[in-house]
Amino acid sequence: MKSNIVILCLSLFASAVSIACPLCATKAGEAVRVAIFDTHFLFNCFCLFLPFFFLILIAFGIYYLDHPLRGA
Amino acid sequence: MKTRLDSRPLITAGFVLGVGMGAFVDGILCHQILQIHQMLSNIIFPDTLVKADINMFWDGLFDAFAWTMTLVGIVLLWKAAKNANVPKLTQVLVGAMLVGMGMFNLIEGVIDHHILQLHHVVQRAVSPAQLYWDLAFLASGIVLLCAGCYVIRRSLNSEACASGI
Repeated sequence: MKSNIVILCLSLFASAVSIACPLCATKAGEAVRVAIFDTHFLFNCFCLFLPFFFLILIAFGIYYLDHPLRGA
Repeated sequence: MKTRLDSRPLITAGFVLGVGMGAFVDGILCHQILQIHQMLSNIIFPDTLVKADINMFWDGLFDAFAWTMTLVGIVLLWKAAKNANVPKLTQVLVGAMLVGMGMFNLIEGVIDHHILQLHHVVQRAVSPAQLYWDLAFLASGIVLLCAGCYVIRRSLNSEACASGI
């Protein structure tokens, strides 16, 4: 019973998104969807994440390494 | 007996918060208010609504990363605040945030503007001016980084003098 209610809610949400979301509803939206998800999607994600990866690495370095800014 | 104070958790928290703040400054000011560039504007120039939509999606993902970094920074700051061995120095936190913002400008500038060339700081500028804006962005990163290190060092030195270490 509980899982049926969850499935019903999820399918209602999915149909609401498909009606309201311009990515699904319009022809221009379809072009946007193809350009985002079907054209180098993972590579673009990688490019976006790359600077943050190095910054996280530096944060780990600041936390774990001995450096002059650690204090007396 | 004096316990050895360790400012690394505070500096790490400030650094991560600074990275998040730097990313938000870039995302909110440059991408949205001034609209001088967008995330993939050098690859997909946003001169039509469809291309602007595509860039907006990647801007959103960039803002999601910035939000995540800020959240992690708040958690780290909370953990540092609860640690008795961490000095609670406002100037160290502010300095670490400056370092984080500076490092964000430097690393994002080098990777996104120069190596991957996803976008330039002022996308509509013509060729030599575009490079000057990119270099000015890197210079702002170096200035913030140096200012942050200076503030942290000065605060820690004065704290060490005051506690006689």
